[in-house]
Amino acid sequence: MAGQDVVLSVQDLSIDYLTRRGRLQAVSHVSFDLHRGETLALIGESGCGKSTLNFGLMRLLPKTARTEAGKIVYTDRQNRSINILELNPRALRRFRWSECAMVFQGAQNSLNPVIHVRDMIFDTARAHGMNNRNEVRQRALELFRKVRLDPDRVFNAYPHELSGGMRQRVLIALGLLLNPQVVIFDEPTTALDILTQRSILNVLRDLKEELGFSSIFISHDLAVAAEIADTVATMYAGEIVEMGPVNDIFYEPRHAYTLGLMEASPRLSVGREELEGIPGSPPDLVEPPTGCKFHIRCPLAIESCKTTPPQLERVGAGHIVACYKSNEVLEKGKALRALPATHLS
Amino acid sequence: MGFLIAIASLPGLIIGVLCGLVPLGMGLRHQQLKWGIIGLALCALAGFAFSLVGGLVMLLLTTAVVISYAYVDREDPFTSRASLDAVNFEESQLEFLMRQMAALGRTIRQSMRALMRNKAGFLGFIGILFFVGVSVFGPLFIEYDGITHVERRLPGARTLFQGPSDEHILGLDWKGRDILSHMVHGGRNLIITSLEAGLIATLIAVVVGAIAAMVGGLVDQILSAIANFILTIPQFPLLLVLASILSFSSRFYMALLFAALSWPALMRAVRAQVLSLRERDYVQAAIALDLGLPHIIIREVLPNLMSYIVVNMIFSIRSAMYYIVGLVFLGLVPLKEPDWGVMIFTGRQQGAIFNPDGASMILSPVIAIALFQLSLILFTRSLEEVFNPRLRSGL
Amino acid sequence: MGAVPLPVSMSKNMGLWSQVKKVLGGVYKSYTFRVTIQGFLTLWVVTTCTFYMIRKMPNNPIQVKIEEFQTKQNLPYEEARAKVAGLYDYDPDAPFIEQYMDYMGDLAHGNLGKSITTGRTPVSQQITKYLPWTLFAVGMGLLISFVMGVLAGAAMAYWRGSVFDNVMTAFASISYGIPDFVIAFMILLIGGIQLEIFKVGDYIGGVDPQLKAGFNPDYIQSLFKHALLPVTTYVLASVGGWMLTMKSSTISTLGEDYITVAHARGLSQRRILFGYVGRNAMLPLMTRLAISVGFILSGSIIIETIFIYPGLGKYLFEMIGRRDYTTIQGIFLVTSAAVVVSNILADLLFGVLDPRVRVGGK
Ligand SMILES: Nc1ncnc2c1ncn2[C@@H]1O[C@H](COP(=O)(O)OP(=O)(O)OP(=O)(O)O)[C@@H](O)[C@H]1O
Ligand SMILES: [Mg+2]
Repeated sequence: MAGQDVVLSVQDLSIDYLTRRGRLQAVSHVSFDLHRGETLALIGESGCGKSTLNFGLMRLLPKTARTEAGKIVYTDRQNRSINILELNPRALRRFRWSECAMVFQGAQNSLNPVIHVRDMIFDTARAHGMNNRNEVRQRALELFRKVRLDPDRVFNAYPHELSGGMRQRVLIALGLLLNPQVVIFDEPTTALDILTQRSILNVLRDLKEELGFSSIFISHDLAVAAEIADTVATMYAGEIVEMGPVNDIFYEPRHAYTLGLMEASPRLSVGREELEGIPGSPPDLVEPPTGCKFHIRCPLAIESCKTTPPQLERVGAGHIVACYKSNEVLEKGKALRALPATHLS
Repeated sequence: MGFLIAIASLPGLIIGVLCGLVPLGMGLRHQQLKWGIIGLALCALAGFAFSLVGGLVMLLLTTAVVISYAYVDREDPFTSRASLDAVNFEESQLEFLMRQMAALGRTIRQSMRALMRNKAGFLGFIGILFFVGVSVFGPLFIEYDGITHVERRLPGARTLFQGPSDEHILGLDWKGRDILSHMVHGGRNLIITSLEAGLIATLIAVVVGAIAAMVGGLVDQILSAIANFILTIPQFPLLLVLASILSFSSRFYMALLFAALSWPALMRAVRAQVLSLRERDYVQAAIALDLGLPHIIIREVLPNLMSYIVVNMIFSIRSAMYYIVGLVFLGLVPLKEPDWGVMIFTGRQQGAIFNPDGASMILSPVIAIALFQLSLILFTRSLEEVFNPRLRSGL
Repeated sequence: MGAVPLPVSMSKNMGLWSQVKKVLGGVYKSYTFRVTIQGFLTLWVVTTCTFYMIRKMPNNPIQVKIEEFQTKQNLPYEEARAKVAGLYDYDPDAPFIEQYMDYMGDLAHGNLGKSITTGRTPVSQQITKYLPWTLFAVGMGLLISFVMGVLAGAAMAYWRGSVFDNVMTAFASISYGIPDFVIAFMILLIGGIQLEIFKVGDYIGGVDPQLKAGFNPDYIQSLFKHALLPVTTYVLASVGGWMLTMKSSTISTLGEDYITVAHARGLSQRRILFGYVGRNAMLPLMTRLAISVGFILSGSIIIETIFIYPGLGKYLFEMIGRRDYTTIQGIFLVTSAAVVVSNILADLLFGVLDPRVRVGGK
């Protein structure tokens, strides 16, 4: 797969947190490739390690975190490959934001409350050697216009004078300021009302077409992911358990957990009144279960699920899954989909 | 608050031992002999120190702990942890009482564990116990030395001051009296008065703050104005004036006065906290249910403020002690020996500062006060762990 | 307004009244005005209360002086009384209300009255004589302890968990836990007497009395030398509080999302530390600093007494002993005014530093 157009290649990345109770394996053995212009959606329950993975990509983890193994290879515009985990502080500082930017979960607190928006923009530009204030200003105003903000007002505002949705858009504009190749969006639309969500999604799609950056997009909302992503990866307890083209994942899920997520999502389980959740709760990551980490909650689990963890296997074009019962899951998904719309249960 | 005046006494010891029989009996009955014996010992000690009040309080606490061990950790009729929380309407009154005691005991055990988790805080706790213990049990071993001892003057010495020696570990004061005995006997009043002042100040602050925030309107404005007003007057100068007016015939009045001056800061904090708590759902629900002001404050609001209040109480105790010693040092409070503050005052007057032999007379109380106050400050860290559930659950 | 028909005259009146109300309301709502009025009100209440309390103290200036003459010069009562009567301008039998009205009248003209017991010098002159000492010593102490505390606290937070942090936290707890007079005694007794590191006599008092006041190096050096002990005491007693507050404030700031975002944006370490962490962590401390400034004047009676430092606190204590009503009153008024003003400044300052709470228009 690793062709010329891979921007970011993550290989066997594991991240642990040191906690009072022991090592918490927040991300374990994650691998994926991000291509030029591609949008990869990461889906999974709260606490499955999505944010940790992305902080790891930018080396923004807190001091208590340990990046155990693996490689993060970034290919810059001159086609040079860089292992981010080996960058020295100065190079890392240059890499951040100008090559890979991030729009954070919870925009409410992402902007320094006592500094003007314009100063945050100038700060960022200056840190990357753009000292012409007028040029920076023009670029920022243009971006604000693109994310449909009133440019002059926002440019001179303090963060508290903006609404939540406006702040989110300021962050998006700030993220695109240096024209990075990769942009990570960590739940950019949660905690916003439906209309604002909509408009931000539209803005994102337009921007992506116009500027052509690749992005990693985290969302709880599967409908949002389905709409914006080219590729979808399902994470469970720190692992990627299934990854593939968006249509494959949504219409022919091969992992019991992915199927469960679909069933639990109101807009995707079309026509079914009763939403089926996944029984139980995610496992303790300090002492994860043996075998497949999902087996405790899995309706299809067999003996070998409890002992030997399944390996990721190719099941279709670009579609991989780690599940012994992937065929049964596929059948079950089809059966569920075939149920009449007025299903009584 | 008379019960706070404590000197170890023999009748107290007997009362304590009698009280201790209850946890011991409980321990025997439920095969928790170890905890029964510990309970007996603690009751005896508390009774010895604080007589009936101490004995009864300790009886309640230790019995609760013994019961909690018996009913929670052993497989018994009403066995599991879950049943402890479930309400069972058919149980007898005795069973209900037992259940309550077990719950109380469990809280005590959790609190003790939380208390010991923070090392600095635990050190402070030990420090406080030490000073209280010396004040309570010290008089049993060291008699108060109140008369002038001219015969102790060393040949050639111009004063009766003496540095530390084998016979008198802390040396002699200007009248040739043993400083150690003054140290042992002289802390009690100071500690008790500060304690009273802190308690009263906290009580006023919590009540007034809660009322101001819950009632609101004009009441709130007036109460807040009073608090602001007191905060504006420089406290210590005001105390100097008031001390001259009142001439403190009773220690309790002194405590009352300190309380009257030191409640506003905590009151403002409580008010602010209650105001923000008021907006939370569960308090709103209680208001909607019309459960009555006292109920809302006691059941819904106070538990959330506990850690805050207790820590502030310690601060009040501390500042009361500071002011008392300050007033005594300036000679504005009637001097009743033995007292640490009086030692500093007379020591300074009698030139102990410039007499290398006399330094002990000032240094001893000064260091004792410093250590006691330091213990109080350190102790607040443990208190935060005990009363703040967010911290208690760890990480 | 005009929907209900009213008799002409009345509606005219109402219009006028509502206009007046609007103007008054507007003035009242203006922040500066409201704060000023509240400040004056507070000062008036303080003055009235202290006026009453001071005169409630047992004895009066005359009585105190009479007793002094009786004991010191062994004069009989009558003679002592006659002597004092000539000395003092104070009539103890004047009705309280009359004294109060007189005093308030003087105050209205900005006049603090004349001292009773020190040969009729104006109180304002007394205050300007002693105030500079206190301002110099406590002000310097506050400045030093604030700067040191903030720097150390930020460093402790930045390297939290390190040996440095643990040692400094222990030091800060001790400094915070021990009362200032205890530190003063320890410095005097241990440093001065037991270990004889310095000669106590050289350091107490305000300035070497042999030197002539003026801008000569000897005099200034002597000023600093004599302020050394009070300032050291003040710094040791208060630096801990600043350290602990700054540490916890910095720690919570370091955990804020916008700091992570600043790192993500590739800002330099220096820019983040000074422009983002330092500045935001300092915010809560600035209010406290302003309030502490207000208490400079009154905060040091015991320390000044121990070191025999000729500041306002020690002077106030002496005047209370002599029952010099007007002087006591004046000092109370000035110190309370300082607190009121610094509280207002704290509000304004916070508004300038933190745009979220900016008050008033603009
Ligand atoms: N600083 C930390 N120290 C210890 N454990 C942490 C820390 N941050 C996160 N964790 C743990 O790591 C796991 C993954 O957290 P992470 O924030 O990556 O989840 P997430 O998938 O982003 O969840 P959400 O969708 O709620 O944002 C969780 O179990 C969490 O408890
Ligand atoms: Mg997250």
